[in-house]
Amino acid sequence: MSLTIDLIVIGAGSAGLAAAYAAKTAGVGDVLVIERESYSGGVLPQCVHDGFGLHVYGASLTGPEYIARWDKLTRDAGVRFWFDTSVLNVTRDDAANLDYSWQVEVAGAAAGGNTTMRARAVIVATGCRERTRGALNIPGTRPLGVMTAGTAQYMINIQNQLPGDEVVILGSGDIGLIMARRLTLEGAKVRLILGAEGTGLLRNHIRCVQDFNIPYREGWGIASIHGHGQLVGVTVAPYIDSTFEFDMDRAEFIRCNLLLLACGLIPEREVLNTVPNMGQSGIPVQGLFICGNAATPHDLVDQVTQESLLTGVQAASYILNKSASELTDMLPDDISYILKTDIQESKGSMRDFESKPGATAIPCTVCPTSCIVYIKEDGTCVGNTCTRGETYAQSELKCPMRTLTGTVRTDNPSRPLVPVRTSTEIPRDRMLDIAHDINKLSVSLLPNMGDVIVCNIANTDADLIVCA
Amino acid sequence: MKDLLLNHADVLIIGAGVVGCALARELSRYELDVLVVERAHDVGEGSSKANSGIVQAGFHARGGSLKGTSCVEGNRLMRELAAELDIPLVECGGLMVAFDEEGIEKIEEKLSRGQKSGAVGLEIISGDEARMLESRLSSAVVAAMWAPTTAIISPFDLVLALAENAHENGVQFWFNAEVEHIESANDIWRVSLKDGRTIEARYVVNAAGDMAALLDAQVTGDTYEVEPRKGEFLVFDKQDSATAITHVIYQAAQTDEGGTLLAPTVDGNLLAGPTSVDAETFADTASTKEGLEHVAAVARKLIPDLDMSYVIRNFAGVRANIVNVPKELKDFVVRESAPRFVSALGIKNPGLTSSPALAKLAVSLLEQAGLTLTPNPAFSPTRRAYVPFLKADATEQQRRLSENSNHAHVVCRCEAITAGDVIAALNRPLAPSSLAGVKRRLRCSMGRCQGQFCEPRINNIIANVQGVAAADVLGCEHNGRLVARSVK
Repeated sequence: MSLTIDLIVIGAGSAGLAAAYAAKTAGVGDVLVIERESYSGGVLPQCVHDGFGLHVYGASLTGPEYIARWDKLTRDAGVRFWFDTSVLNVTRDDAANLDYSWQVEVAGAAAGGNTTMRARAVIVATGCRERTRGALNIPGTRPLGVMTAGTAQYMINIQNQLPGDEVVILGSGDIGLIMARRLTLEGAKVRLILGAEGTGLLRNHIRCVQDFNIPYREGWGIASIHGHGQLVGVTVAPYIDSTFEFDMDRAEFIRCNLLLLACGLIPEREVLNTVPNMGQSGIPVQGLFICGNAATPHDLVDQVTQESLLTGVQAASYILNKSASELTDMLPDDISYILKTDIQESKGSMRDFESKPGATAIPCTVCPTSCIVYIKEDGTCVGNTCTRGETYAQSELKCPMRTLTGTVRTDNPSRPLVPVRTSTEIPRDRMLDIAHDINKLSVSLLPNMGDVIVCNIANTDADLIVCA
Repeated sequence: MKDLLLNHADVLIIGAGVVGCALARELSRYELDVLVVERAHDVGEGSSKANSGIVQAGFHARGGSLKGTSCVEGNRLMRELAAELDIPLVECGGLMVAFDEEGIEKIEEKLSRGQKSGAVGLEIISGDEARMLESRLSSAVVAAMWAPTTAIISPFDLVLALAENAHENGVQFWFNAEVEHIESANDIWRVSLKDGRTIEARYVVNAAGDMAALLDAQVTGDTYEVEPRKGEFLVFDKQDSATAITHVIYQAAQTDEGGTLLAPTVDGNLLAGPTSVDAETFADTASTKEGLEHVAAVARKLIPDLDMSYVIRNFAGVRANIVNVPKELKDFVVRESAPRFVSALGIKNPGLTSSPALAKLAVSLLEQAGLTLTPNPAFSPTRRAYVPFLKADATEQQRRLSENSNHAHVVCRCEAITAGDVIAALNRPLAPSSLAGVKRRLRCSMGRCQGQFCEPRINNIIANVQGVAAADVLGCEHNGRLVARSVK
């Protein structure tokens, strides 16, 4: 079986969907997205927390909500999908067929085993993988219970499987912080987050670490891993100033049965190892495009969407031999708006700023501007650049409010959990209790996006709604 | 072959490591009831899985010693075995390199040792000649010994293939079967297991690795003291063929035990290691910062441009090291320790290479002790390896897809293993009972992502096939589990 397609997009994550949508909308005839999972979204379906789309939509969506928008847009545009299908390699064959010079070898039931397809252009949107214990070369034994934060997130939020309940998290990148909150809400004990330096978004430091009083140490690392069969604990130690050597005189043993690693992302483009003169260099060659985290890891999905839309337009420009600016004009206004958004956000932990004498510092998380608002003793605010900042800061001082996200059990074994969120914010200090209640719920029929599972949950005025 | 009833065996083999499995396969040539009891839940769980995978040429050990001669013979036998058992063996050749005059003396001495043990083709070559063979070799190398018979093999493939072939020829295997007590009664050995089962066997072979000396002491007052000695390794990701290291590279500057080396693997990875330090216990398989740094330093001494960012894993193995014999007299010990009780003691490097020869030696000791060896007419020396879906031809792919559409669904993308492959592995003879067992049979989760993508998925497939909850799937030895419980 040999198939010829105008554009093959590898990966149906946020990058692949945006690129496929843009290329199709710009006029490419046949766009096929190949996805190894049985659903689209890449990592986003397991990111049940909110905070996505703040820049491009001005709303704090959950991962499943964000991807639902792009899934619909892409399907409505007429993009085709092959799910449960893996790309094994990509090669270029100039001699055989000049129009369709890219060969993509795939495997999966939809492909009837493994098959080589031909395309005019290929967009690689394969995302990234997390740095593992092996790549970090941490010494010690090799028990189960040591895994990357994303693996734990998949197990917990998709599979309803808890890998451990006494947790140490190495690395203060966003996914480590997000998982600290998730595990806490799911009833596990996060004993410590530690890392060389604070690298996560400021809003995640506040909403994941500070909100739940999770012990957090910067400048510390894991000196050794202990346990045969199952993890029993780790030796942690501080780094000697500006070196990668540990001060073992201050080392401590911390008991845990789960060590999560949130230590950075590696673009995953090994499918291109078979492309001559390319390998891991990441330099695209004619008709081959790379976008999203496969190009370089991004902090925000908003950035991935923006970049991938541009990549989709570029691929269309290559295939249709038209100028990119001409094709960009074919995109609807709300999409063009995304292309024009300036996306930047503050990173760093709470120790990066301090309260001033006579004033309390409150980093605002309402929008990506991330103002530091100072509330003086007389109750007035300085530092905010809009009125929402003042409202937020006053509320943080009296009764901080948060959106609670999580999952609810179903009786469908192939999809054991559905993601949920509160329809509005609820008092921060009630999150743990309400999360505990949510964990006892179950639904029998698979609900739809927006369905209300519980009205006015725990008298908070918020409904618990399905967000996938 | 007869069914094994009432826990009787003609020959009981203790330990399903490489020596026990090689012996089991050798004994399956004859009409005998052979039972292998293994403490762990799978074959090859001890030192047999944690080593460099080198088929040694035989120049390390004292010339003419059992270590040296069994290694040379094992090297020859291993080629036949690999062909019969359908396992890859790559004849890469080895270089022992010298950086100075002292090193040259050392490689000359190794050459003489090898020749005394019967190793063929050894020769001293210049540094430039060595760099012609291995272009990235350090410019500081002034000479090398070329060992053309040095080869590489997958240690786990070897142990598994030996065990599978033995099993197909009638050998029984009991796992989770740890020997506690051995006594002699009326020319019969009565062996009690920790779980209460008892086996009666006229002949026993003790190939228990780290436990062998303790078991030996139960039948003789004259045994050896064996202590654990640790070796640590780094594993590198697969590299382009243009930059890959293609020979085993030893360095002459150290003693053979401390001799950290570089070895390609049959799967395209690169190993660096081992170290050699005394360990507290045989269970002490923890790698250490010092050890890993030593390995990295030596690796870069050999190949200065080695990219350490390709490291995907570290591990450590523990050797059974005889300590109450002077170093110059140290050797493998394979002997009849008590009537009809044969022990293999202190089997460490090059035990993997020597194992086929040591198995033949053990058979001859059993025969001398009175065991009757009647050829088994049904014996088949060949075994076919499982071919993963994506390596199968189109006809075979269609056949498997017609049985199960999951066959094409890739679960391990680093090693290109499909869900169908995992299901097939779980239905093979001597089926794996754990995540680790599936991993060693298929290599899934051994790649650059180290199972971060595939392990939960494979765990789910095992749970489905075994009909248990995900939290009840055995992860690895010592009762490790990937899943603790349901979240909610």
